[in-house]
Amino acid sequence: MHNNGREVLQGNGTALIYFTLVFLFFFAGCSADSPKAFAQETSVFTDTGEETALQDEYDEWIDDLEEEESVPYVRDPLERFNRGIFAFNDFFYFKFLKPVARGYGFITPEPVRVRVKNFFYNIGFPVRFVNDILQVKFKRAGQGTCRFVFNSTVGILGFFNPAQKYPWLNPPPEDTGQTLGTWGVGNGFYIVLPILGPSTLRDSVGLAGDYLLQPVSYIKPFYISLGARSYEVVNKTSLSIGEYEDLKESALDPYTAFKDAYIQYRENAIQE
Amino acid sequence: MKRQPIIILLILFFAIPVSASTPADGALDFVRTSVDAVLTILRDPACKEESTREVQRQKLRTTVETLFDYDEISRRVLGRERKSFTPEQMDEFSDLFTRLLEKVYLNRIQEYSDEKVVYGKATMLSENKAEVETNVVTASKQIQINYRVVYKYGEWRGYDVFIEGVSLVRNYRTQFNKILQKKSPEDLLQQLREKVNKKEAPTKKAALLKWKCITTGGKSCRETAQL
Repeated sequence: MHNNGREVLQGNGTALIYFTLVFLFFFAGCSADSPKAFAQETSVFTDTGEETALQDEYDEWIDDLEEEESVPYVRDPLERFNRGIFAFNDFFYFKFLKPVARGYGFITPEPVRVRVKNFFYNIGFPVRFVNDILQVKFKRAGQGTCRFVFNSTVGILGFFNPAQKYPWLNPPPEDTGQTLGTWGVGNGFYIVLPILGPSTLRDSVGLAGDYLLQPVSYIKPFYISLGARSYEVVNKTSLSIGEYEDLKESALDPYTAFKDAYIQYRENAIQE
Repeated sequence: MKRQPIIILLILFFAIPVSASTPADGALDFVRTSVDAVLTILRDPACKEESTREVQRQKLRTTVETLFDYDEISRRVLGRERKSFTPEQMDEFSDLFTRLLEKVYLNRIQEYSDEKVVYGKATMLSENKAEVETNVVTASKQIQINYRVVYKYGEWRGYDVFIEGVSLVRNYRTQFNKILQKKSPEDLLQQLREKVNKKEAPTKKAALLKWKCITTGGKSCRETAQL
């Protein structure tokens, strides 16, 4: 039986293998060439002077694509008010937060600041865990728990981030606003919060939920809790100086640019 | 036993999509080649000095031009609104918008230090479009940058970039639509002209001279005027 099988392979099989190889090349060529074929067809049309017609068709096709995009339109009935808060936040950033973060960054080495950031991210575990459960993402809840345990022990209270090396230990973080989003709650309308920045009605409610889930919120007395949160913000800002400036500099209308970026960013986070 | 050759045939048949270079692989290769070319220029020690900055910029400009199809980006960025533009206005828009992107993003990537680019997977979005995932890893964070590329006239070209899920094209389109709700295409072009031709933020040296001019006057004021 065994020999027989081998014979088939060596005898008749040879032709068969050649046949298969020809087949293989044929299909390989086809799959690699399909976009090329499409492009050639297009250029043939262009050459015959039907450029405008083709261009229009193409443009309409792009317009269709735009409508397919999943990012929702968010109303902004408070625009005048929001623009006022946006200007205040801009002032606050340049005159207060940035100088403080710079000064802090000057006296604190970057590795230390990265570790502080790790620590704060690690103790925010309850926010992510509860929202994973509420979104029925049990696998991520498990991964997040493993990450918390691993970084709290091996990573010494979360100051180090040994979990970084393992992609499966780093599920995208969930928060209450995203949970409401996956439950089908719409954005409502756009709000710019003082100091906290861009948000929507839904995400503002979400922020209240996150506050209740943050261990730092339960530190007594109240001013130490507030101090810890402020320190977290200053530390984080010291690591991302220039990002706000860059987006603002690249925009023609910074208010609209930040609004759109926020809405796209949140939509992407909900989809993840 | 007779079936064995058929099984081999079947195995080979199903192995084809894996072994052949698929269009998605082509997209990934294209992005990788272009981004690596940019990184090579940025890492070139000869370009590190202040004096060679302009040379480096020119090299970057040429390389980035092969990565992105600025005409396509300009069209997409205007969306439906481009119908209210005359062909001349459209050409000027395309030119100004390209210069804006170059001004903003070339400055930004020239500040590149030791970031690492990790290439992820490529997915086909339609018969000739693909999205290529990359991650830029810095000492303190990871930034997800995805490239959208289209296969046209025999080559891949980029038509959008998603930074942390935020589409560059959509972000500009929202702004331009907002402006065009109340203003004419000519007004938008004027705003762009001002933005593109605006002088760079004053350097430390210029700021120091200005300060000297205010406090002491004389020679430093003439130097400030030259800057």
